Amino acid sequence: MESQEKYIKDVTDRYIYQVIKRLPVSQREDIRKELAGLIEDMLAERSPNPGREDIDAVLTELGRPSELADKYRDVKQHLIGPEYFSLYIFVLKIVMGATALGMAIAMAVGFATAPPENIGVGIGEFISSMVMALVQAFAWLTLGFALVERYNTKKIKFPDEHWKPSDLPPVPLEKETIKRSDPIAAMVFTLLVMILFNVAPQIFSVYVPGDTLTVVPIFDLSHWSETVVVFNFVFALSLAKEFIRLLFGRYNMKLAVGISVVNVLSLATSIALLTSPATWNPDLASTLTSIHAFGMASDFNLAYYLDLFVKVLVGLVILGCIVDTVTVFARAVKFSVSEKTLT
Amino acid sequence: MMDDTTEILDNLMQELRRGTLVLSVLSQLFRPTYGYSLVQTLEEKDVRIEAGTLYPLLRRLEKQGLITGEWEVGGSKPRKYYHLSAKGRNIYDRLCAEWAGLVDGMDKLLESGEK
Repeated sequence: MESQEKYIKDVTDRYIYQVIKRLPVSQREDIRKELAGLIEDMLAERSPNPGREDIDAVLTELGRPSELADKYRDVKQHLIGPEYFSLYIFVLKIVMGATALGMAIAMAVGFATAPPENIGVGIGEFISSMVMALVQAFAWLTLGFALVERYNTKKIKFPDEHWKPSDLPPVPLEKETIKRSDPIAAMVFTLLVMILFNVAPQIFSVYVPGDTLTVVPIFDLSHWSETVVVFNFVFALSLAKEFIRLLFGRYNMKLAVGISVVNVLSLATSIALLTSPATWNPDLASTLTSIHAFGMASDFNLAYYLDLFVKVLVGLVILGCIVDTVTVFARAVKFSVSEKTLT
Repeated sequence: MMDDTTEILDNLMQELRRGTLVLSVLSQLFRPTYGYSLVQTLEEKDVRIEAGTLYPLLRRLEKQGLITGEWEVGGSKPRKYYHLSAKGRNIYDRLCAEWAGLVDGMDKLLESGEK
């Protein structure tokens, strides 16, 4: 008999604990007391001398603890809701695929230029780098979607009270919509380049054919671990930009403003990065001249041309940025005509 | 095929009942009542609400200010007694009017549908 009582007490405590641990701390004590009272009442109703079967029946009737806790919570808790879930899965598949492919290419290049000690080390390195990259890709993408979800639920909770059918935005014209494939392709490309920069920066080299192939890195690899952080920031901005395009799906002013903000940030960082001497291999010009690469005369002022090259590069970056910003604004203005409300 | 029908019917009946839940509960809270005795009162009147549904509902109604809850510790065990607030009373009256209109309309619909 005593063991029956102990069983009833234990299983009740366990049940209540499973319910209240899922609820806000401030409500736990109150709900605990109320549930304890309820279970006691339900037991007494069944039998004056309740046993094992009685408490089991009572708790079964109350249902799974997690489901009971769900009923106590008003809102379902989720990171990414139904509105974005299918897009999230779609992008996730592509990003994970692109990351895996990029890592495979980059690691292969890395092993070709600097072979690992033995196969075992190589495989271990390959697997750990691959897992790390995939985990990072997954985490950042999920964080991005979670932020959008959080920001947007406010809109859903407080919808415009004076909603009118005439406020409905027009069905976008074919050319007005941003096809999913464009930002996706851009994201995949950026990811691939980003992975190469991180895993195998040595492939960005000047390859001088001759009796033996001479490979001169373009970048200063001696403190690459610091430089690459800045490059990664630029890549991240570029990924964010494509993410914004994907979410909006059509050209309008909000999109244009968002894209320009990212562009300005990205431009400033890129210029700082490209003009910093710490980015480039300081020995590039002298090494290439000394081996008479591509039939260069020894008095050829290569450094001057390399400097010019960097300037041209900066110019191109600025131009690209301006074109992108102007285009997105032009389209926003052009299509804002059709955004007007119905009359 | 048969199982499918039962499942659909179960779902629809559940939805139908869910709409009447709040009105049923409010109607019985003119006097302070604790959760389990409310389950029993409703059951005596052939309205079955599972305790697992009623208890969270009581808390929600309390949070919305339609009912007030107070712990009574004098008895053999502590119990939380709920009872209709002024705001709840007001809402209950309006819900009753709405319900009467609904029943009227539905009666007419179902009668004309039979023919």
